[in-house]
Amino acid sequence: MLRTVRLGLRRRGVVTTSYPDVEHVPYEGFLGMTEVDTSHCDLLGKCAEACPTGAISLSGGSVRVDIGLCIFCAECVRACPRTAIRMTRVYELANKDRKALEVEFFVR
Amino acid sequence: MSLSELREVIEDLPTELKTSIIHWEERGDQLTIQVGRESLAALIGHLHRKYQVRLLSEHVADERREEGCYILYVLLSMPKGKWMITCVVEVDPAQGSFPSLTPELSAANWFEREVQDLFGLTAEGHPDPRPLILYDDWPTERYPLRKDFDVAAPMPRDRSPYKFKRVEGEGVFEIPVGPVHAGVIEPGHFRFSVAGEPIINLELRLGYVHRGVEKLSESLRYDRGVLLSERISGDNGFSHSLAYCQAVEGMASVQVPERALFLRTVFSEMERLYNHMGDMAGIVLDTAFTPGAQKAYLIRERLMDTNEFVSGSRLLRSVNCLGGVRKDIDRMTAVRINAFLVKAKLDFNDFKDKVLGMPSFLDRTETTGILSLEAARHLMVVGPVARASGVDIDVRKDRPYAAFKEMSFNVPVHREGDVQARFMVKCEEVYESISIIEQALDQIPVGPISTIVPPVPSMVTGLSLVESHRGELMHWILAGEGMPHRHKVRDASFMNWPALEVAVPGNIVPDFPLINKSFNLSYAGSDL
Repeated sequence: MLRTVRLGLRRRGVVTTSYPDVEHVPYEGFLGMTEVDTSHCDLLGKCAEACPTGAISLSGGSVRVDIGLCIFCAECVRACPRTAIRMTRVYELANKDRKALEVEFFVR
Repeated sequence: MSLSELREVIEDLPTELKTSIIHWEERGDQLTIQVGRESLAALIGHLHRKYQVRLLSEHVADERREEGCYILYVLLSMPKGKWMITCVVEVDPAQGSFPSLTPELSAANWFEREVQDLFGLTAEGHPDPRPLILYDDWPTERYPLRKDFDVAAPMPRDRSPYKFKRVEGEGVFEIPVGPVHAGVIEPGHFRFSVAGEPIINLELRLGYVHRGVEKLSESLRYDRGVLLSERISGDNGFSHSLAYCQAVEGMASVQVPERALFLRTVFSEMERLYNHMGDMAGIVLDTAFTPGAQKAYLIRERLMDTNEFVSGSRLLRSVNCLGGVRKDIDRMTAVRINAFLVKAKLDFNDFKDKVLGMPSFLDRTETTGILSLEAARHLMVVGPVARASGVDIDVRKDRPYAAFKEMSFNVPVHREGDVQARFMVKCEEVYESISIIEQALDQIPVGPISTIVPPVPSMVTGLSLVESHRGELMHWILAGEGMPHRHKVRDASFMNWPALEVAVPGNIVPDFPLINKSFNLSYAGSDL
């Protein structure tokens, strides 16, 4: 009993973290939110072709990514010859509004 | 057995069976025999009695457009897995039936019920022809795996109650459980018949997560199929995608780079490790020894964290691709994995000692949920369930894939067949898995991690077996134009579920969760 209290007070043997009070940062290479690097993108459309769920579409001068359809497979990253699309470490993607899941990246 | 002996299988057949063979052919380690429908059951029965063949799968492909008939494939594996026999039978669409193998081979039971549901072909002489996969209110005359099935057409509901087996008598009660359960587990219905506490009969009703994976796969290019197979059953996504990739690579006759084979070995053992840890934690938790379970859950969490560190995905998704892997393990990462495994092994030792020194755990698990060797052989169970009942099968040893041929490891076999034996098998496999990862990382050759896969010729078949943490899983593909014409997936759970119905009766109701946990069966993998 005393040992338990002491352990608790000294916070030894604690394995949980204080998320969300303390931010959790995933590892490099984590398959999170898709992001288009607008300075490198040439609107080739390879990502849209590679996407198995049709989450990526090109319209005029922008790339539109629908996170609601994305399965985070990173096929788009593999397909892009300009390495202009990548998966970021952002994972808190829930939203009350379906429309907010559609993100648009303006290339020019 | 050598290649010429495989030919002897044909020569040793009794005359009446030999004359019934329409055509046979030998390719690599596979023997394909085409027989007439009337002698199929006799042939399978003969092979089973003489060579103790194991049923891998029994499935149908709709080839009415190409061949004017359905084709029934019965896939058998010779003992120790090295040789495969495929029996092929043409099924006349006008007749709409094929002879049931279940009276000869109990393990064919679910396969045939599945064929009945999905193709509308009757298994003649099947002792239990009730539906298996489709919903109770699925309309008759709609068979989803037929090629002329219209996916877009709305599906009317047609109520027809499922007939459960009834156990009747004074003081016999029925306890229906599920499909919605208390915890966050998958849906399945269990119907217990009890007299007091002991269970007299257990009946399973699955199919609640049938998503039409096989149908969907027939419309997906091979590269997309990898992503689909990763999602068949969440926790063994790597094994499924590996089996799929291997089947496609086999059809395209591609040699996967050496380095990719070693990486696949590492990843598949990483998957086994975290899942075994979760399984053992679950077993311990169900004996109400929570502090012990938390130790294993902690290791599991750290293993999944390592997965994320190595691959970007806790479930090792997006790692496999056709022709190799997408994620490399560099020197620094390998050092980190090794350092972590040393620590994990110490933590695991601590967990194991605590649990096995706990009388309440031993008391609950010993002699609980026994699956006898005879039943295990009969139902042809696979994986840790089989190895805990004394059946020595492991695809990694019997039919090595990836780089398992280069690895030195043991296959733990226990023979008690109870919950504790299954726990011990998993326990010992953890050490083997750790050792395999270490060996693979030490020996990993330099080179490319993937290669380009040329187009797959149509109408060839690909078969691939992988030992997932649940046991042998199979992907069988009949190639179409750029995508599978028919893709048969058989998860280990599909073989092991029927064994649960055998292991549970005689035990008390509170032991059911414990037994179920020790079998660790996937609903999604079985329902497809």
